[in-house]
Amino acid sequence: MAEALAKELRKTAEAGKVSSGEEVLRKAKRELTEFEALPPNTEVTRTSKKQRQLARDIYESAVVLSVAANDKAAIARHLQLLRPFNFEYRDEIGDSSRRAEMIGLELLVLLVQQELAEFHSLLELVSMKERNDKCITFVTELEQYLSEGSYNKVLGARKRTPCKTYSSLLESLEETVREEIGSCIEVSYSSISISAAQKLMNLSSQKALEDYMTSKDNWEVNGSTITFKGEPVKDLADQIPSHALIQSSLNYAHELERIV
Amino acid sequence: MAGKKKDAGKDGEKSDASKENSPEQQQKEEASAKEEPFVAMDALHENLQLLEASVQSKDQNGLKRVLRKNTAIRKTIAFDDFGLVMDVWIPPTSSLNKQLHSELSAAARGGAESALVPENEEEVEFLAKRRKEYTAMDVKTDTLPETEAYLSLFAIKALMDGGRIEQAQDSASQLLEMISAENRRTLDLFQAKAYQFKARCAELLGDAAALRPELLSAHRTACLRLDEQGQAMLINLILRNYTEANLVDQAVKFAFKAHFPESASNNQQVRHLYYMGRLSALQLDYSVAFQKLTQAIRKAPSNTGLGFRIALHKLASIVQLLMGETPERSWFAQPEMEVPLAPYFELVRAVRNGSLAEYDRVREARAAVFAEDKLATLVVRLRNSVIRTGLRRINVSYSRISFKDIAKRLALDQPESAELACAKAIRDGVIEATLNHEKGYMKSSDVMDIYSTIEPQQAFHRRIQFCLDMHNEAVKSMRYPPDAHKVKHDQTEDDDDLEKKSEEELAKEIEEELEEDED
Repeated sequence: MAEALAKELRKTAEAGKVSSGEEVLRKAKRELTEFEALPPNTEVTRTSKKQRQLARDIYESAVVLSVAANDKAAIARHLQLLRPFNFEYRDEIGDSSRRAEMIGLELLVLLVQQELAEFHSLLELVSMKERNDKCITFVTELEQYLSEGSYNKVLGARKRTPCKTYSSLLESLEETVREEIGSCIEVSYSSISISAAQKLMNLSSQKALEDYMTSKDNWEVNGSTITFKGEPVKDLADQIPSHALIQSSLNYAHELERIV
Repeated sequence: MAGKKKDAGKDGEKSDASKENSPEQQQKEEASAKEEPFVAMDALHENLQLLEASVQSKDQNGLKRVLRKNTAIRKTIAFDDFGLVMDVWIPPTSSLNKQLHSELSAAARGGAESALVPENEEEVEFLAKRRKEYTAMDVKTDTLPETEAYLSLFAIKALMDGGRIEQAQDSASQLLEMISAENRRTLDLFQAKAYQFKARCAELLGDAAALRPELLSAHRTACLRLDEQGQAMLINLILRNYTEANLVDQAVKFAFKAHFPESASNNQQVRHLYYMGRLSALQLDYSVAFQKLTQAIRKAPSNTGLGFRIALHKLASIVQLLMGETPERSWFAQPEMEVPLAPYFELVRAVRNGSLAEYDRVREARAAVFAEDKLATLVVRLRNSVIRTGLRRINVSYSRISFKDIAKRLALDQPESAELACAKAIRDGVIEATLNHEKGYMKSSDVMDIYSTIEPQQAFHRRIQFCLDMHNEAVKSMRYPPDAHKVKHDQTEDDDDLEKKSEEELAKEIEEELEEDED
C-alpha cells in the first residue's frame, strides 16, 4: 500500500503535478503514521530498514513537490523531516540517489533565510568528500561569494545551477542580494549613473530600478544620475555617550570600594 | 555541631590509624633523618584511610582530596604493591578482589605499569620489609562501597593504559551498576569518574553514539541529586560526544539548556570553556568564542595537558583571525608548541599579508593537518578575512586605485567583484573610502584621528573591566579551612607550622590535580 503510494507520489512530483501530488501526499502521510520505525525511534528491527527507506522516499518527493508549488514553508518543513533519514539512519538505510541534492537544497534554504549559524552547523555534518559534490559545492560557493561581497557572481548563479530544484530559491536569494547591493551602493558612492546602478543590481529594466527606488527616500534622481544623501551630521555633543560614561565611572567607583 | 562531629570522627580515625601503623611511624622517624622517601604503598594506604574518614563524616572536600592525591599514587605504584594494599582493604576471598587482581595482571601484560624503580639496595630492602608488613596486616571485614569504587577505578584506568579498552568498559559499566544500586551521595564523585572512563572507552571503541542516551539520563539524575561535580563532568562528556560527531545543533541546544555549575573543578571549567568556544566559533559568534578561549588558555594548567593546550591555541588563533585580529606572536614561539602550530603560523602570515594566493597555497599544502584538527571548515571561512585585510592594506597605502588593480592584487577574477567587495567593506566599516563607478576607482578617505572618537575610551574600559574581573575571580576562588574563624589567636608556633605545612600540601595537591590527565 505505502509502496504503491510512494511510487505514485514520486511520479507526480517529478512531473510537477502539484494538486494531484498533494492529494497523494496526504494519503502517504496517513500511511506513515502506521510506521513504528520513524524518529525518534532508533531501534533496528526486521522491518525498520524498509519503513525508513519508504519514509525517506516519501519525504523526498514531498520536498520536490513543495519546490514545484513554490511553498517555502513547506520546503523547509519537509527538509526538516527528511534530515534524520540522511544522517541518523544513514548507516542502516544507505544513501538515496538525491542525497546531495537534498542537503544542498537545505543549505540553500538556510542561506536564503540568512540563518548562517544553522547553515554552518549543517555543513559540519557533511563530510569533506561529500562537499565536493557539485550540488553542495554550488551552495557553499554561493555562501562564500555572499560573505566576501562578490554579489555579481550570486546574481549570475541561476544560469549555472546544477539542480533544477534550486531555481525558485535562487530567485529569492537574488532579491536578498539586491537589497544588500542597494545598501552598499548608497554608502560607498556619492553619486552613480542610473544605467550603472541598473547594471550593478542586475535589474532587467529602468522601470524595475525606479520601482526599487520608491522604497529608498535618500536616493535622489538628477537627470541621469542618482545622488545619495548622507546621514545628517549630528551635533558633536550628542555623540558623547554620557549615560554610558557615567555608568561605567560609577561602576569603577563601586568596584574600587570593594577592593579597598 | 557538625564541625564537632567531624572532628570527633577524625580523631577516632587517627588513633585507629596510629595503632595499625606503628611500623609505618617507625619508618617515618627513621626516614625523617634523611629525606623522607615517597612510598606509594603507604600513600595509597593513607589515602584509603582518609577516604574512610571522609565517608564517615560525609565530608565532600575530603573525598575530593582523596581523588586529588590519587594522581601521584597512580603514577608511581607497582601493581603488585597495589595488590598487597588492596588485600588489606578488600577481603581476598571476595569476588571483587579476585576480579581486580585479574584486571591488574591483564593491564600489566598490556604494559600499563609505570612504577618507580628503587635506586639503591637500601631502598629495595626497605620496600621488601614494607611489603611483608602489609602481608601481615589484618584484613578489613567491612569494606565500604566507596573503597571498592576507588580501587575499581584504579584498575579501570590501568586497563585503559594497558590497551584493554573493552575490558575497561565492561568493568566501568559494572562499577556504575554497583554505584547506582548503592545510591549513596558519597559515591557521586566516583560515579563521575567512572562515567569519564566509560565515555572515553566508548570513544576509543568507536561507539560513542550508543552511549549518548545513558549520559543524558545520568546528567538528569545528577541534576536531581544536586551533584554538581557529576553535572559538570557529564555536561562536558555530552558536549564532547556531540562535537566529536559534528552534531553542532544538538550540542548548542544542550549547552543552552544545561546549567554548568560554578563550583566545578578547574579542569572541568577549562574543558567546558573550550567546547563552548568551539561551538560559538562554528556558529559564527567569534567574539564570544574568542572570549571563552582566552579564558580557557588562561585557566589551563601550564605544565601539563600539552595536547589540550595545543588544540586550544590552534582554535583560538583561527578564531582571532576570523575576527580580523592577529594572534599574538608569542603563542607560536613557545618551544613545545612551535612545531605543531607551524601550519597555523603560516596561515596567520598569509592572512596578515592579505594575499589570497599565499592563503590558498597554505590551505592546500596543509589540508591534511586542518582536516585532522577538525578546523578545515573554519579555515575555509578565512578567505573573507584575507580579502578584508588585503583591502585594508590597499586602502591605507593608495589614495586612489582602479578596481582592475584591486582585483589583480586580491586575486579576484573580475573587476566587478572587486567593486562590490569594496562597496561591502565600506558598508561594514572595514575601510573608509568612496567609490567612483564611471571612472572605475576607489578613493581613500582621509584617515580619521582615532583619538577624536570614543574608541580609546572603550579600549581603556575593556582593560579596566578585565582587571576588575580578575580580582573578583581571585577573591571568589580563595579557599578557607572550615573552622578557620574559630581558631583562637593565641596559637602556639607548632600549630602555625602545622597549618603552614598543610597549606603547602594543599597547594601541591591542587597543582597535581591540575596535572591530571587533560586530553
